Amino acid sequence: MRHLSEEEWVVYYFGEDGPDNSGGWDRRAMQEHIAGCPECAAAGRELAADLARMRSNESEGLRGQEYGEKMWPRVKDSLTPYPKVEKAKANNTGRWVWPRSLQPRWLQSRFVLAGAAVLLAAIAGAAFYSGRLWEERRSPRITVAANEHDGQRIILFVVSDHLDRSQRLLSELNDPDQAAADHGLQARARELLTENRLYRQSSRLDRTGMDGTGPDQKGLNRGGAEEEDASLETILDDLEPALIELANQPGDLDRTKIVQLRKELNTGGLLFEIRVLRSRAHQQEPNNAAPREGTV
Amino acid sequence: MERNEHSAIRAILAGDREAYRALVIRHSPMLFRVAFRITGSEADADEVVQEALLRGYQRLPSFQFKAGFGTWIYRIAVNCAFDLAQRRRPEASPNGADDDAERVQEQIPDGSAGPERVLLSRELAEQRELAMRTLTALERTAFLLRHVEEQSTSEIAEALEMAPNAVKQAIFRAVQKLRRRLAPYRGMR
Repeated sequence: MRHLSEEEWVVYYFGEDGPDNSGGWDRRAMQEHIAGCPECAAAGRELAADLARMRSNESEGLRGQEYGEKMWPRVKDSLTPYPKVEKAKANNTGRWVWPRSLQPRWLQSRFVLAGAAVLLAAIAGAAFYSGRLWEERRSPRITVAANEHDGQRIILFVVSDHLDRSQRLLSELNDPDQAAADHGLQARARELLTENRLYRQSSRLDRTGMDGTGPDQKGLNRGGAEEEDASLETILDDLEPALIELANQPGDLDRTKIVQLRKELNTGGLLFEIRVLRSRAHQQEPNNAAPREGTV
Repeated sequence: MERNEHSAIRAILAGDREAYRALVIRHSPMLFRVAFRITGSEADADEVVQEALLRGYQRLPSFQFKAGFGTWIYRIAVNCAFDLAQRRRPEASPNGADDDAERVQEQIPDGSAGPERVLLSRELAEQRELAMRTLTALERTAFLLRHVEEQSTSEIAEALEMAPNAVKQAIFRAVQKLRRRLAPYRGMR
């Protein structure tokens, strides 16, 4: 029987079983051969010693949990949250389901369920329509206030994507090396600049009133919504010069230029303002219906 | 623990970005270890960990809840580290190892006791690192994952998106080169 080749030895050492993995050798046949062949046994010991020597220092590259703590702020800003969904839908477990055996027979019929759904929709539609008629007759001013609040939410929702992308662009400047390597940064700044101008114009028109009536005649119940309008406008105003500077820098942005721009444009402060506005808008989400209910 | 991680992933997919924090804190040290072994540089390993965590977050919708998050993100990190190692050194010089081996033979001290032994082990560590540098990115990655990280050939093949046979061949070539390079140190530890 011939001796084991170096390749077969490597296969044997790393325990890759099967004749295909060991050049036609069966692992048991290999073991039997090694046991009876002092030459191969010596070669095996030599390989094992060589491979043991090739293990680098095991303590190298070890990091504790504090490394993860340091890593989190570095990745956090680059993570775009997934769209919010209801918890029950995400887990797919929180929803109440009738056990099949306990389900009443009439509930199991699809036709009955479809009929019930149509009936419920008709009742809901009628209730909604009559409610609106009643509401219009009773309190027209409240309806205006509620609609304006909804309008505010729509504006925030539309601008949200713009703010999100602006936030990411400004966050990127926090790492000047990464920002300098990103050749699409200025193009994105130009794109955001165009959008920003549009949103600023719309925001102004919305504040002054398209019909020229002015804000004072639109009702006194705006309060927080107006304050938010003003914050949004301020942010859009502050974003503009930063985007202009970034978009119109001659040549490629290098590390030094980025650090300088970051200081001059106070991008840290801008980022903070955006985060505050977005978190306030987010906090108000569940209470959207409150003003309408409270004033009726 | 796995169940907690799966709940965290569901929360992230439902819009709770903060839920990713626990996963980052738990797995970053392990990702750094493997990234450092493959790239051989702390700065590169940091870059790999960051990239792997970002890629992992973006790919979460494709996460199969059958496996552990650790195994899944480990594979992503290996892939990132391998990509980076390839960019850093696409090919190693095949003749370098032979020339260096001859030079090493001349440098080995005769004695094996006391301070000389310390010097020898330091020299051995240096030579081991030099020998590793003569390997291609694939050889180094496959060898380290098999020999030091103790991953199976099929696991390595999956992480590197390659055929298992290509991985086996790479491991064999790595062992062959390293043995030739470190032959002068045989019998001295």
